[in-house]
Amino acid sequence: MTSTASSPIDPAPNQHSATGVEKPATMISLQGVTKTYDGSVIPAVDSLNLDIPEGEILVLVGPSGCGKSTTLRLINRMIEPTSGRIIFDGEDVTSVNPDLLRRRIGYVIQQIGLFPHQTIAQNIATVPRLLGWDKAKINARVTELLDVMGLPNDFKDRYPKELSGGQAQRVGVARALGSDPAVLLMDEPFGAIDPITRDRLQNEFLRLQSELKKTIVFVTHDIDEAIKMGDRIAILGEQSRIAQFDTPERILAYPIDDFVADFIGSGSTLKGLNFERVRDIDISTSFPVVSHDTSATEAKTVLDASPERSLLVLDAKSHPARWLNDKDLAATPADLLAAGVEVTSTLPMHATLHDALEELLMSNAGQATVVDNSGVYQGIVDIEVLADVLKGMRAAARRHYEVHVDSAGQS
Amino acid sequence: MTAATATSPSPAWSWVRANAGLLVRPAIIVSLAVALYVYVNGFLDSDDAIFQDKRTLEWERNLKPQLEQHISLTLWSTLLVIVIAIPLGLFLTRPKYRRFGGPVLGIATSGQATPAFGLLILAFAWLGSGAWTAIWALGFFTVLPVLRNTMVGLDQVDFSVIEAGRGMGLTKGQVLRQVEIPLAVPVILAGIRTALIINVGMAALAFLIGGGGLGVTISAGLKLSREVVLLTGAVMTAIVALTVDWIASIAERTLRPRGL
Repeated sequence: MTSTASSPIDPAPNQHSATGVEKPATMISLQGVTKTYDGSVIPAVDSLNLDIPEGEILVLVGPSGCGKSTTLRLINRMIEPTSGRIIFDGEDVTSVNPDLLRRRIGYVIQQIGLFPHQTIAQNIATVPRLLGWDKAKINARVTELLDVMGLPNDFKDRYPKELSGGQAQRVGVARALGSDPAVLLMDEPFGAIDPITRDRLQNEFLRLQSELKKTIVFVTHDIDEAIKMGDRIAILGEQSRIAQFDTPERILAYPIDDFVADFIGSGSTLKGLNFERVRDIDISTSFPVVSHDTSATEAKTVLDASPERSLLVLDAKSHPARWLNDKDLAATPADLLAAGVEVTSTLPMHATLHDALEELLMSNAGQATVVDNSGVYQGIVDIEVLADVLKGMRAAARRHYEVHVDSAGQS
Repeated sequence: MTAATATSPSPAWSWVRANAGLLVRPAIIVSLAVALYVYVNGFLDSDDAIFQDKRTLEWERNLKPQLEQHISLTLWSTLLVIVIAIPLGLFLTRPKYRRFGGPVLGIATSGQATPAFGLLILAFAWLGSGAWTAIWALGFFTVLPVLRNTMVGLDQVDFSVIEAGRGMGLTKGQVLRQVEIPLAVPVILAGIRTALIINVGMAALAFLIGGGGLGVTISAGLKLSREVVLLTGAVMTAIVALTVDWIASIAERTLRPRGL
């Protein structure tokens, strides 16, 4: 009785969230947050419960008008919630001074909003200046951030109008990182940038994040960007209702309902292949392989014993060398390395299954030959292997949801 | 980078080239003044000059004090406008008070719509004669350009810049001081320059209510039907106007924040 009274709003475990074991600590928690604009009856955000995991990129994605930007702006209280609580790093910040709160949270917007009358250095120094850092510390921090964002040091004294769109958004991110905040809010940060530059900025940002390990909330309307950037994705429907909250892999493998399935669109299976790497799957070892000094008759026996239509010949260094089929072996060549078709390309262990699919579609043998870093043969990926992996991913995702729904039903 | 510095001329020379327009104006002003001086001196030494010409055009006794009055009328009335209109503009662009913007602009517009002559007479009827009556009347007349430009200047600041500033934790006051006002400066300065020019011209009417200024000489020229007197008053007023505008244009360039 007393326990329920002390917490009127249960930090309700999200229905579709990952299991507690793999989920990191919560950095920000929105608890029953509702926003109703003046003069409107229908809330823009309706009693939203959202736990934002620490050190990860959480992407809020949904159709336009679903309230994802509003949700983001509720976190740093650019929009004041009508009701509900916001817990930031264990502290209830629902009613603290919003200006002081915002100095602890980096904020990046699509339009960037650099101060045009200030130099790049002054722009990046905005929050450190507000926090009263001394000049030397600010200067060192600006130099460091320019370096981190891959911008030349002589940008310091330039003005924003002298920058390209991509450079300006790099400065925007550097400015948000000014005081090294633990949390970064990003509202469609790469939305207004041309596709090629956007791709580059996304990759740079992911590389940066792998070092920085910030807690990032990232808003986009582009599911592909969400899949690429997100450690976790929250797919939002009307009024910021969470339709599904999970890792991109599981969302792609198991869209929870028609809304999510429609939103992620066709080709979700193919997109899912990006998340598995060759080294993590069982590479078929039953494929017929012979060494280059095997006789042609012996090789023929190996091929006949296997269901495959061709076999792979390895050279002296165990590198894949030739593909040989029935006909090639029927001619009983003296040197196996002189017969059949040359192996023209191979796949490294760190390649994704998407790369593997492309490789096997391109190869004339219908297989992708996997090698390790020194080029030594490791195994084969063919279409059956891929199909098995996909089946496995779907089954795992389904099992995950069934277990979760069952346990939820019991409690 | 090194190639750029090698080919670019010295900073002094590039400044001169960038500001060539600013250097043409003083040349025109000086030649106008010299021409006027030569003409008037020549005329006063000739047989055509009458006693009244010499009396009215005496430098120490008439022209110099009138010139000083004219300049001080202009400056004080413009200062008055700045002190009133800029804070008013800031106030009227804050979300809370925005709704008063329309009515206040309406009053300011009516100030400028009233004929200048009528406004001076109204001020005279209310405040009596003297320079300060003229200054208040001029001030009221030119509130509009400064007020309107202050409001427009603040309103045209890109909202995303304000949003970014607020999002990083700048307070409303800090955003106003560090972002909105600097970005509005060019537009506000243009309004002040307009007010200055109007005030220089209007100050020529201040003599009507005992405010002094170069209007005294112009009116004497009209009453006496003496062309040389009339011309001196008019050309001197023009010289003051051109000089004030030139100084204002330099101020506009220097005070404009870099990067815009």
